[in-house]
Amino acid sequence: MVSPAVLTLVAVFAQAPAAPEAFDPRRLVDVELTAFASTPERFALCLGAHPHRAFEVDVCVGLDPSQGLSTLAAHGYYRKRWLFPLPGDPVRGFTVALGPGVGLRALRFCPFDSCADALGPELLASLEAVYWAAPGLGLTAQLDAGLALLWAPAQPQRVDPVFRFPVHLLVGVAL
Amino acid sequence: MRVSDIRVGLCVLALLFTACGERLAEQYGPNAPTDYNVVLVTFDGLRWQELFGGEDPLLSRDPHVLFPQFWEKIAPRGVMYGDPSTHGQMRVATAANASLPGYMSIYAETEQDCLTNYCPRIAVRTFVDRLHDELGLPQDQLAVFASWWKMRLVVSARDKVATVEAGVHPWGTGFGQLPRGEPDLAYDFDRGTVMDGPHYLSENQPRFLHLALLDSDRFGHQNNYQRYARVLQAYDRLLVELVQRLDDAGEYGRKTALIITTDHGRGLWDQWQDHGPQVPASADVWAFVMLPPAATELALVSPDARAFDHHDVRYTIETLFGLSTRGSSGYSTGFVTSAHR
Repeated sequence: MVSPAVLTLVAVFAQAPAAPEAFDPRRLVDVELTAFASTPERFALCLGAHPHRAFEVDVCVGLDPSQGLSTLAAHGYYRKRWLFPLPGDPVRGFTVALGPGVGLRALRFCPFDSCADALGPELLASLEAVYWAAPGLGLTAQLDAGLALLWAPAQPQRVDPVFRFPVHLLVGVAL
Repeated sequence: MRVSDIRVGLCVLALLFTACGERLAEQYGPNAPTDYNVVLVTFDGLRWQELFGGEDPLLSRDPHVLFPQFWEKIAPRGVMYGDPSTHGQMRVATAANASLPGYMSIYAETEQDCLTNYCPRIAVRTFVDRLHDELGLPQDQLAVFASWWKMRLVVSARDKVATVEAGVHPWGTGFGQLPRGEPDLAYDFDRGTVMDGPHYLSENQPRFLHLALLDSDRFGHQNNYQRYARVLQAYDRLLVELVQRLDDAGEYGRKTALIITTDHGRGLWDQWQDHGPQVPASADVWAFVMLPPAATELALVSPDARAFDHHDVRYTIETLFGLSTRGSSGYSTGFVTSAHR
């Protein structure tokens, strides 16, 4: 039995125009910070660019100072979008987007004097919501979760696979 | 229905069960019993990084060697398996990278479909069952001292096959009213095991003794690298004490093999505290085997001869006791081979 709330949500998204219409703000860049992040980073700053409405590429630098971990990750996202203009307001409204992302993650572990680096791909599912408060200014919330497979040196001439499960909630602005 | 009919029916059912049981049971070749003994020591979740390289410079500000006495006094008397620097490979036998599946892989010959620490008691014949049933070794000659109570699930499907003291008394059971010294303060749950087990070895001279230590894994899960390192240093002293006891035991010591291993590895870097299927690096394990000094007819396989796993520990123990391992599930003498091959 599907709950009425889910049915309502599905109906709302089904009726929401996915194609461009009068309310379809164009964005160029995002600047976002983590409100929450799982290991390996506690804090992250992401800069995103939107070469197309459905595409985003971003670069994130992350840090967990308590563990001496720092990360650098780059992603590409493709998200299907739904538009929710505010009634009677041609410039304000919401966009919600959902889709996959692929990326590359570099991880540096440097708690004391020695350091080690790991590198590998990651796959994410990404959900983004933007409230367009004014023309060219949106407030964003982006939730990503996925799996990263990194190769890390376990000792000289030996590299071991390491799984990471990145989950982060980013909040910021879209311009 | 007459009573005699019921009896006949019951007999037929019993015969069927017996026949099925025999079909399912492992069939082995003839045994050639020896008078060798085995001491098995397991350190729960002890990474190869610490054993072979000492404290991890990525996890310790001031890294120390952790098993100096072992490497100086004991390692030259045996062979080490799973040393990555010599391309030795030894891995767990299941995908679980967890304790109970690891110990069951050592005690059983085949996988037990146990992938977590919440499995029921082992359901197949373990090598301890074979020592009891096929060699007639009594319960007090097959001893397991373990800091983790779940080792009771591993040793045998039956009670009264072996003497099992598992996680009962952190301060020791006072076996046989033996005088017990002050335990090393590095220990926590292992205190009873390290006090009772070595005494049992000296006093009872069992044919098989397993000391299963736990604190390494506990401190690992607590993300307490300092205590983890401290207890590994205590394990180093314990190993020296055990070998000294064997050396002092005369003929018994000359006929006793020492096997040291771990049930699983741990993760890398900040994931060192963790293990399991989500931590692939924790599949790497290691083993050290020291043959009985009197066993001049036996030798050990080269560490780079092939990839080893936990089942090799069982095969090694069976081979040392002269139990045939030529079973329907395969054939291996584990780490042991004949010196005269």
